[in-house]
Amino acid sequence: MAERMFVQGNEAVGWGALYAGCDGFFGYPITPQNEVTQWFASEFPKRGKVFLQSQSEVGSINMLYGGAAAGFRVMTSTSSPGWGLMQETISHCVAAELPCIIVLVQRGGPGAGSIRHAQMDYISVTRGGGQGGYKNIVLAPASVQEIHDLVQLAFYLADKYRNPTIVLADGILGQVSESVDVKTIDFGPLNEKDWALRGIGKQKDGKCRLINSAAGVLPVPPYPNYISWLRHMDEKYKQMEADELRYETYKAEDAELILIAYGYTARVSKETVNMARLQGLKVGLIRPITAWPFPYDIIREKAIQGCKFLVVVDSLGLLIEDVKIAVESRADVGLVSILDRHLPTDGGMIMPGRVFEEVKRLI
Amino acid sequence: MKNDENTRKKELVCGNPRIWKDPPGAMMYCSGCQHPVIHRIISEVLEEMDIYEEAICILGVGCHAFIQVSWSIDTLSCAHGRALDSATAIKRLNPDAIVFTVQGDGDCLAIGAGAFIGAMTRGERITTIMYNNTNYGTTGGQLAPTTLIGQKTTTTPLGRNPKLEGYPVRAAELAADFEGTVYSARGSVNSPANYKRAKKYIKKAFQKQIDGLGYSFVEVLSACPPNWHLSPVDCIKRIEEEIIPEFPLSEIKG
Amino acid sequence: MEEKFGSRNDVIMAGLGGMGVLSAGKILSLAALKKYRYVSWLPSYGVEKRGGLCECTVIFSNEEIASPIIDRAQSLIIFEGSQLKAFEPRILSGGIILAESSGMEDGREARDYKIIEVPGLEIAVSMGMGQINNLILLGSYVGVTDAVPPELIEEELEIRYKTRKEVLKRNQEAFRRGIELGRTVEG
Repeated sequence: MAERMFVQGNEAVGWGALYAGCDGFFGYPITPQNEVTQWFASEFPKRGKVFLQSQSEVGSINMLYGGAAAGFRVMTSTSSPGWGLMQETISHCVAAELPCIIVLVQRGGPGAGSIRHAQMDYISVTRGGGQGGYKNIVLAPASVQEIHDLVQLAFYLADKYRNPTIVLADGILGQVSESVDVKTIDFGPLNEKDWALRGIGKQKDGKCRLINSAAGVLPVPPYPNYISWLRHMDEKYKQMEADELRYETYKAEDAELILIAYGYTARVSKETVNMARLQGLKVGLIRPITAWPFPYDIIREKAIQGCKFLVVVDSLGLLIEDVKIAVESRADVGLVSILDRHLPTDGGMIMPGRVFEEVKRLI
Repeated sequence: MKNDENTRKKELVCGNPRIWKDPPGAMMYCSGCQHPVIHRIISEVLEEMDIYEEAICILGVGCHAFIQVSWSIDTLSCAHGRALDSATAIKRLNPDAIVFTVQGDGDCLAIGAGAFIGAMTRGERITTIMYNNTNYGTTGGQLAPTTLIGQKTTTTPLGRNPKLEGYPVRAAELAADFEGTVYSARGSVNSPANYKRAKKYIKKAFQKQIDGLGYSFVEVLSACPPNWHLSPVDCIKRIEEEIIPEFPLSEIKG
Repeated sequence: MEEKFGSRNDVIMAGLGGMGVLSAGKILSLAALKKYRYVSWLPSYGVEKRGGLCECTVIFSNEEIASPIIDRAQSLIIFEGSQLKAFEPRILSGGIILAESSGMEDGREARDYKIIEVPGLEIAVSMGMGQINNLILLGSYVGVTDAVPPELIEEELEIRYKTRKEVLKRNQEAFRRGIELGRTVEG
């Protein structure tokens, strides 16, 4: 039974996690996602679940490494500077095949940048930002409902692939409150975590478990050497690419110009599509729900059909690189970027009206 | 692992600890290295206290971490310096487990200083055994926080100069200063008598965890013949004559 | 209002930190949730808790809300008269601006929208408490637009100030004064 609630985006992270059966949250304060940490601090202990404020984001992610290794559903949340700090151990989590969730509420960068919304971490999120080149499924919600839903999906996918999953939000989505159906979403059965560390007394076969992130130094069964292990990882990434692609198309069937956006700018773009359609302009939207794997094929298909594209993103570009890869020089790709905000301050936003101006110019 | 008490006791009289694999596989240590000796003490303690079935070991990065392929208790090998963060989460999520970290002095005191301070600040109910060989053994004998004044390492070729590299860190004393730490001691394995004392310290440290009192810490001095450029016998001499005077053996707290 | 814009209402509220802009928006949102399928509340404010620019956009609708961010709204509530000029471009044609009259500058000419000046601060002060102006302005908005039934807002106030009866009473009175003001203007 769903409960209709009015929930802030940051708090929806908590409700999603709770309904996904999250066991522990480990986090460090950082704006603009402090409500996430505060939500867990007030809601988790009274339900017998673990909340811990770490000594740094480095601490948080290494707590996830431990909690996940012990077989628990664990997560953290941070903003862009904290995301930077976590890269090392996200890479270790991938290597040790430890499922965990990292929610990234993006803010302006680089450096300390601003404490308010932006979408400037796209490349490090989708390419595996730490050492060694790896892949994480990246879920990009565009509404508070979707934050709640995708946090739950993230736990499922993390366990399914034994891999970290990233939920990529932004300061606007974190701060906005929207009406939400709060409920458990069932994604189907998962394998038991018989690889987890519990103490040999609790292992069904009585045998010890060893988890490490250095397959090239101390080979981990069943992979006899480094390359056989890398081959296994490669197959896993390919399976994620084949099976986990998600995107939304909105009025794209007959569109001559397609907007491409994720997160808050996807909402702004949807409004723009509605404005354009009211004036009879054939404009649509493709919204990646997984930023990795990226919906290259549908965009390429549209390019072949002769569509133009307009990327709407609150950064200097970044997302446009994936769109350019998809269209293979077949189509023009325009950009509405952070430079097009309605105010020159950190509080400026990309507004539907500004996007619409660009739509009218391009079509 | 389900042998009865008598069998287990009998088997402990000689040979390797029961929780070591037979043969213990890649016990990849240099001649005269004392790390395996400390591994052995931990193993004996886990067996004698009958807590090895609940034990989860969290390893740092360094020579100490080679134990992971040799013993048969649940083990997690971590990012360099982060063992105490990972151990914290495991103990919080699974309070019934006996959670302990095995770390080197560089892992715990240099790159892992933040995690170390954090765990002690919170008084985590976990146990750390820190191996102190006054240098980075795995990477070729570089300066560590524990390197003695004047000691030559590959990154202090003229010897540690306090004006440039500061002073050795006395971890057991540092740990004892935290209210969250309920037990802190420094031992050595340079003689049979000290072996016994170190074992007693480690046993006490685990008991504090079982009693749920807070963080427990044992530093154990360890020889590193190839990087000290000394024979194993001379290493033991160096521990007695140079290192113990700088790092005195005792129970500092608890 | 409801006929003109269908089953959707949107309003931008603007003022300075400490004036109760965000809480007025939140109260409206929670009340609207009982009547509308979709509600969004988007706050925007600076680092400072008091005195900085502060605004929120509230949208409630039975259709899915495409974007919580909009250039122009059907209604604006301006909590600080001097901000009217800056926010005028954000009203839709045919829309209504409710503006606090104190601080308002002269020389304005309404074009294709209506401006209603509300002497909220004066009334609030006469009622003994400047802080309740946000409820007077919210009441005026509800009185003018009938966007949500007033009793839903009152229910929300009761929940919000459950343990603080005095505060509840003052806020209820302020809200009711606002409703009266709004209705008078429209009539």
